[in-house]
Amino acid sequence: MSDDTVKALEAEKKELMESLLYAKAELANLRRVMENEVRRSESAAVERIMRKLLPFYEDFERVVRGLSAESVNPTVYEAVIMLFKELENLLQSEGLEKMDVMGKEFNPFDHEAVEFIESSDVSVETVVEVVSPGYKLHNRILKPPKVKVAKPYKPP
Amino acid sequence: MVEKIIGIDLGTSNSAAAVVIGGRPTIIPSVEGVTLYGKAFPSYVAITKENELIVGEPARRQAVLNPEGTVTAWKRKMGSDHKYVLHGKEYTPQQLSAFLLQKIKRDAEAFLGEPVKKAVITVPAYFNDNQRQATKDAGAIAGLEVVRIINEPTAAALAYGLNKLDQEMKILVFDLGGGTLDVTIMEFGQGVFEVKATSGDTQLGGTDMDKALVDYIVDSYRKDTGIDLRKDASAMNRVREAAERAKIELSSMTETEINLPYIAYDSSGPKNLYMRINRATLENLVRPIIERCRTPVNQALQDAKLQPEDIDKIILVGGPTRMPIVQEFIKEVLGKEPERGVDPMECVAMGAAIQGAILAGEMKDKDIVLLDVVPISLGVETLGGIFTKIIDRNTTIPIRRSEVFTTAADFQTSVEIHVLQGERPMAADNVSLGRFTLSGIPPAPKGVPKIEVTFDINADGILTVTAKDLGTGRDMSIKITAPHRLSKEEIDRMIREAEQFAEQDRRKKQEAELRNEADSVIYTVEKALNELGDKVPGETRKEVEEQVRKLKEALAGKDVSAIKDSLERLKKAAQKIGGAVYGEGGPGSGKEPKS
Repeated sequence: MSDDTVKALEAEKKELMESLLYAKAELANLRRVMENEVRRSESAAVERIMRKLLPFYEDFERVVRGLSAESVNPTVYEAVIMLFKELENLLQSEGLEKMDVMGKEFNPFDHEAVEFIESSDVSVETVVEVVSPGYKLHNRILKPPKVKVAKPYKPP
Repeated sequence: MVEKIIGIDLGTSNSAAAVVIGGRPTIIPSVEGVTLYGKAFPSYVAITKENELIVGEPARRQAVLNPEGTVTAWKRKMGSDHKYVLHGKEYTPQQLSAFLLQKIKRDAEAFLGEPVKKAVITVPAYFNDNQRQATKDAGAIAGLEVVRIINEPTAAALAYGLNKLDQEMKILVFDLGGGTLDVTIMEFGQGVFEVKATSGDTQLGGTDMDKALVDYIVDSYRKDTGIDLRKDASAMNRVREAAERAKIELSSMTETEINLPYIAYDSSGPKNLYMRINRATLENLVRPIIERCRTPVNQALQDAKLQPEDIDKIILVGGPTRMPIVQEFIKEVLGKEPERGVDPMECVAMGAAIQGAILAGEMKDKDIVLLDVVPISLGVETLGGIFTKIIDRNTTIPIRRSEVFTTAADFQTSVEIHVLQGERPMAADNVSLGRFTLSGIPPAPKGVPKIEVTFDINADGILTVTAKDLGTGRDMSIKITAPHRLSKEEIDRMIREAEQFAEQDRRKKQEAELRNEADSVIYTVEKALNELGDKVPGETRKEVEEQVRKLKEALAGKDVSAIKDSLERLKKAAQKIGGAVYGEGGPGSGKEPKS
């Protein structure tokens, strides 16, 4: 083999080795991203179903709150309450948590303000009414609560 | 490792970002999670009284409380001298964009686990040099090197891989967002997208449609009950959320229900809201809004001096274009189906990411990954006219797959390899791509020779099929250039047909397989009878031979159940021959190429 051929082959080999290394690196990266992605899509699946269940759960809660033992058959009343508790337990066991925000200082990273009033009773922006409750799933905000906020009233 | 260049769709009310990972554009999520309308980063910036900077979703959430410190839609002022005053301090549109870009950069770094320094940013096609320069400056302020500014419609076309098609074409991009409509007509040729005309309406979008639906629900409820829900913020919030769900459901279903128990109270107690809404109702509500899109579309055509039939490709961008009525409207105006397959909310960011990957050298100009798959399955014809898939539809190329076959008859010295593409189980229903014969196979009983068939599709989409006799090492091959140069319509038709004929095809395939099995059982049984000779008791031999004859008769006919029954009876009779023969396992199992 002539020197030129050797040189050409060496250059080609170097190039191929380089592209192989790139491909390997990309594969390793891809694997890492994929692992994250699998974890993310798992929690995304739970998230999706939770989002669909939430309106149902909230409506159910509203109905239960409006029920009274006097107006309906006591056994039926008890059964409905039992079912509601069951659903609540199920959602909690999957990591759903209702956010308790009444009276807390407003924080845009956790709450969404939809209305405000001015009040001399507060010294900081404070949640005074929950327009739509918020939920966390595994400690991440699934749906921020929509709240009415009292702003400290400053006399002009 | 190649340094990543991310793509950013810097929108008026919402922004999104994407990056190519492993050859595929992937949307970058914000740390707060995806928000309403799909795009991860609301284009909001806020300065609090305490002089804190808040960007994106949290800034949107506090806008009501801090209107004097919150700004959105500054994109409309990009490139102008306009200054926004937030709590006494002045900010240019560039600075506000920079705040948002910084946030996107941080979240992208968290997602990728590596520093991000470069980006491709998209702008509307009508942006002038000033506005483009301002966008570039915003990137620089944010610590991002803007390696390229590209037009939003161009990015959308890249996401659909239109630059990969080696042909000149005229493209109309219809971008209907939350609050604005942009219509762009481009001409593509020689690898370049050239804007021919733009038009639009800055006060038209999905928010108007949502409002129309909410108004309808609230008004109908008031008519029925006399109760006005508008006075109750909590009830209105529930109606808005239910309307959003209904709108999404009505994209795939023709009717849906809205159930809102205890939506209001009056003297008699709690009241429910129950309403059925069908697609026609929704469409009647939004039609006046969609009709307003007609003028901008016609205007763009007129400015480009084109007729509707001159447009080759239509691309839809923006959430509201997911609604069937919007798609039908476009079809009615332009007389052509829009492109499908990429999320209209994501395609601009994805296209920007693809441009980024091309500039980073991660992707070649021509290999747009979205189309780099085999669109229709490829395979060979095997015994009984069955189509045996070697490479499945949607497999990413380049790809090499092999499968080992054998002969169908004793002392067969050649096999014909018939290469096909399609989704139907029977070869005859698929498209033939070519055939060749591998000869010189040493004579042997059927099932003994091993023929390896390899399908190799290189990065250019060229298919090479090789058949190799593993016994002798002899091989033959055929090169089929561009086996999948089918038009989109052809592909759609083939897939549709496969679904349509699935049941009928399954029966045909079962019949072919049954016939193959019957042939193979007859072969094995006859062979056993020959080899064992006198060892088989006369009575048994007679019975088995009788069943073989009956099965052959059945095979000559068309009655499938007769074949099935005869085959079962033969199997039963053959068991009497004794376990010795069957213990070895006869040939004839597995797949065999057509001889």
